[in-house]
Amino acid sequence: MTLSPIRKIYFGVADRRQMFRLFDRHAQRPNRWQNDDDALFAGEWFEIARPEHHYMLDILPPLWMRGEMFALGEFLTGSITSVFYALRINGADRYFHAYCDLARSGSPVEMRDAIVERERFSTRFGLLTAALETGLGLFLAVFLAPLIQRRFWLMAVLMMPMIIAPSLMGLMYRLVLHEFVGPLPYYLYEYLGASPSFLSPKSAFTTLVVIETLQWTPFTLLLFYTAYSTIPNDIREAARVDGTRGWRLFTHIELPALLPTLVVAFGIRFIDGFRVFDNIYVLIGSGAGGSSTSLSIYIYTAFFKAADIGKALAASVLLFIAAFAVLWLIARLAKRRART
Amino acid sequence: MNVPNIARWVVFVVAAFAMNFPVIATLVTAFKTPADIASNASLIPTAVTFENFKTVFTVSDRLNIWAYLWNSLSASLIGAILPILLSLPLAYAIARRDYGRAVLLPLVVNLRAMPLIIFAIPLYMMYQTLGLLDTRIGLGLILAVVNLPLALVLLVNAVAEIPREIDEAALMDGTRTKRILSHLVLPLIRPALATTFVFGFMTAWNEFLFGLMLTTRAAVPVTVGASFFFSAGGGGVQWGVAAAVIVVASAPPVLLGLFMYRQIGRSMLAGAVKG
Repeated sequence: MTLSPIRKIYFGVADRRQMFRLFDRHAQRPNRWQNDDDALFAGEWFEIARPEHHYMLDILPPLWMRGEMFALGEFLTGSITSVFYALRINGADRYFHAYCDLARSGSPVEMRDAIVERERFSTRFGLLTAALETGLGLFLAVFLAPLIQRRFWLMAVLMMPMIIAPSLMGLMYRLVLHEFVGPLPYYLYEYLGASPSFLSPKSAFTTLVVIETLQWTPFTLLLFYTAYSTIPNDIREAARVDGTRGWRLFTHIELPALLPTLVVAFGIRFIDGFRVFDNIYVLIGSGAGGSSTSLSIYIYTAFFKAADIGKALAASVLLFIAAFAVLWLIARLAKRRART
Repeated sequence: MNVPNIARWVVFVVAAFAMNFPVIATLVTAFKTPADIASNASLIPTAVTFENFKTVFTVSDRLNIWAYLWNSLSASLIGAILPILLSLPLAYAIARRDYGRAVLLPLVVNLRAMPLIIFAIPLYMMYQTLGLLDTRIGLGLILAVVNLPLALVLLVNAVAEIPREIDEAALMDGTRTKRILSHLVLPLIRPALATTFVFGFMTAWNEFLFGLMLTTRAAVPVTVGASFFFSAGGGGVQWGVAAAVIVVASAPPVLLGLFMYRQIGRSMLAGAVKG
């Protein structure tokens, strides 16, 4: 597991006392050797509240200030210093503190991008993957139905990614994406002349979305295929007799019949996207730039790595409530469909 | 829609290739020589070797694939058989007498959609007190809990499909419920039992989170053990060996899946939709 250079070290919003304690968080560390603080501190960040952000701006003249961020003119060790951010994320104003290494000129901006990326992760990931999987699964199920009806073993080929453990699938993707031994970068170099670094903070999100989608589209495909093959053929034939064909047959007859499945598929995949653990943990730990810390990973790290039982349990309860709410909603929708 | 079949085949091949790309790549890498891996990352190896598999199956003081496989096997067997034993009587009661159909069944089934990590911390503490941490039985018990909801759904459906007249006739003849269950229901739902067992075994084998949390040395399952091979050796990852260990670790569920894909497809949906 490679330690990500940029990481969130406190979950929730720190109040003033906590903030000052967090500034000095590594002071008590045993077997701390001299001048190793930069490696410890650089890249760490946490969220603070608006009054704390403004307070820090007021007490000392900042070293520099650019739009949404300012740095304190007080160096921790060498070139590591405090940078404060005021960012707008998903429509809310939020404030962050981070230690950046000013020796690298881009680091405050990188830090900012990583924070924004990380804070947007869980819901966005769940929604995006659920939408992609539902759309792709529906398309493949309807388009490939004539083939699969005759040869069901084709389904076995498409189901393969679901049968393999998600954690092992994660390891496989590590191999596939590896810049030296991975075939994907190899072929991209071969044919396009360049290959992006898939797990960098910038592209980690996209990479994970693609992987999650590829791995779970078989599930929605199976779901839609089963629903599609239970549509009585009489209905289709009746529509054909009336002159409804092709695209119209699909949008007016078949799609409405698949609508309940569509809702269910989206719901299930959203919950799953919310709780992704195995895959991401194996692939990049808690992530390039923390950009992939979903709630599940957070709970694991808080409890087993940081021994912070209270926070881990609080996050567990949150996740429980979120999952329960979605389940309840699906149950209600399904009931209403059944009644009408 | 009036699309030529060739277009459908093209879409199928592209989709199958994209979805299975990591599987193919891993399989190929497992048979490559170290020199080949270092110089040629393409999907066509220049030479084929079994050396990687030999390394995987060689026991060292840090890595022991046999132990991991044995842990996975025993824990998965507990995790697949115990839910069947527990939920069979309940399934009969729900299907025939409607006991717990209103509250218990939806409650248990919805449990399946809950993120498992929620239960991780309380379980860890409980196991610590009970001394079940890092034991095969402890891991097996948890896997049984994970499998219980789906086993219940599948068995309730199976019992409900048996015509009521059959056990009513037996009741008329004065047969006791226990005997009806063992001599009448059990033989009739044998296919459902097989499906439940296979799917439960696969789910248990593939579980990662609890294996990672609840075991450290003695009871490490193969999904977790496989990731040890990635960090082994000191001088970076030996990709050939790593690929071989993935192939070994995923072979049992894949083989089961290839033989029983019909049943497995059905039970995957049962667990998802009936929730």
